Amino acid sequence: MNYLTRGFQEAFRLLVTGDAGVYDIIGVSLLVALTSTLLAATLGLPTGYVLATRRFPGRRLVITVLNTLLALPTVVVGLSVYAMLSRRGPFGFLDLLYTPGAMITGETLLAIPIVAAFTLSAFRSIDPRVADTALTLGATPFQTLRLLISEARFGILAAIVASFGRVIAEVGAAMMLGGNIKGSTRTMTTAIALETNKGEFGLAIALGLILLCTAFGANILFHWLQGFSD
Amino acid sequence: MAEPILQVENLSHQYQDGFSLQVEHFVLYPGRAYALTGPNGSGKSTLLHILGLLTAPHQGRFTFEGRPLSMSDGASVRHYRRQVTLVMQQAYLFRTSVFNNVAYGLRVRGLTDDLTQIRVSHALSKVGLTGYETRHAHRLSGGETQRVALARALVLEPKIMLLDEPTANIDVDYVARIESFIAETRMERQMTLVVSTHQVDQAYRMADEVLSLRDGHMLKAGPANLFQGVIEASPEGPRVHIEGGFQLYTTASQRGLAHIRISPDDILVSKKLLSSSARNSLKGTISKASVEEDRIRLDLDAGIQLTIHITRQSFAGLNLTVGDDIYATFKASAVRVV
Repeated sequence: MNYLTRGFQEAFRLLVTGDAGVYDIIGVSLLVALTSTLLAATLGLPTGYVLATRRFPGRRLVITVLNTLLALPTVVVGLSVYAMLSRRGPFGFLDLLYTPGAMITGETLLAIPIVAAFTLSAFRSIDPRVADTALTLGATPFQTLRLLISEARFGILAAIVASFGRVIAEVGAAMMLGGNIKGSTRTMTTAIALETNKGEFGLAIALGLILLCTAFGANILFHWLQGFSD
Repeated sequence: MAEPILQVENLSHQYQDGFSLQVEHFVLYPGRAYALTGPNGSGKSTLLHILGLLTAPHQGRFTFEGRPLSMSDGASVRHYRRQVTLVMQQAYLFRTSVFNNVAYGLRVRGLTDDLTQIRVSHALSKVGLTGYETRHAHRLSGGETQRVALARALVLEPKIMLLDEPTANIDVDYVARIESFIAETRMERQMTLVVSTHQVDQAYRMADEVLSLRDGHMLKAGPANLFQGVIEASPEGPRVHIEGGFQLYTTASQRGLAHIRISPDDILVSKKLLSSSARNSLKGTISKASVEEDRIRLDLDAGIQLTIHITRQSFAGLNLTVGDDIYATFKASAVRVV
């Protein structure tokens, strides 16, 4: 068990001394996770809203597909995006493979169904009288939309937090699309996988603790927001 | 009388369960108060939702302030909605503070913060909720919720206010207060009011005109023999002065403005003036006679319109026909305050 004790000691040393390598990795993780969450929100929020409020042919099918995509295996996303971005793929010319751009693409695809499905349920749980009440008080359709968003705000924030939680802790697609290149595409999850393989527990534990705190934090925030929206 | 503020013609709306609302002609004049009465399911809420443009009727023509209203013209619908406000029976308050709820309509109209503050405080004080500004709207009781919803609508001072059972969930103690706030705002702003209620007395307290709905149809008249008048003491006993210069003796102890009703069953009919203890006698012409179940209904034009119920035997015995002049006689105790 000595190696574990030494691992923890090393981890605390790395965290306390502000080791540049550790903070580089955290930086890449946050960059990828925040960017892809932002992109997923940009696409997923309107999708969820439209699915919740508009009736159109094929709507039920879209909702079913969306719910199925919640359970999308991350390596499948990794594989698909890899196939698209590899030199022989249709988007090979973009030269994105093994860059943060490729990781962001994959993580965004993973996060969109989460944001859309949670947003859909957030808008669905709004009392049907909200829009009518706003209209009778003289609100324009745009002002009514703003009110609906405000009424669903906790559910929407929960959708964003949930997708961030998923993306920051994801390893399969990050590894396949980023290639785990030090200083460029090495994230907390891919670094932990690598360092553990190498037997370098100190760095793995340090990153693991930070990842754990981040994921727990996101989860607590998610449940707290869900509590408000119920 | 002024030009109507709103005219609705050939309104019809059908629900999938078969219920249909049919209103041929419905006119609202500025500053007047109308009560819609009728049992549950008679179409009161549907009519109010249609007037508030929340339910699109299958058919119907609206003329608002002299101009036809086209439902496909966003600008005119918006203009209408800014002038016509509905408070639903089960009002919903937005997930925010009481203040923000009441301020909502003022803010969407672009009112300044200072003015909004003043008007919201005034409206809240009128519904007895001063000090509730920062409370979360979803932590109020049912009655408080309804009062905030009323304040939120009345603060806008719309040209037409539609109220669906405004005091249904409100504690008895506050009903009078709410009614007087509504009446005050209406007077100050020359607001047209349409209020639905199943309480006949409230209908007469709040409205100039009482309309009744039955099974989706609007009946031309409210309950028979209902008049508004002023009750005064006189040496011969209390008398009620009703529109058209008529005076009727009553035994009511109340004085001042009141609604009185004479039951159509309490009126005696004779071809000659009766000499009896009954103190009210009016001469009139039979304008209509119709069979209603096991009795005859006579409509009498005696300067005021009276409805009288008599048995088929009496009708045959007196040999009455439309156009006959008859006397309608009833006791002072038959003239009851509603």
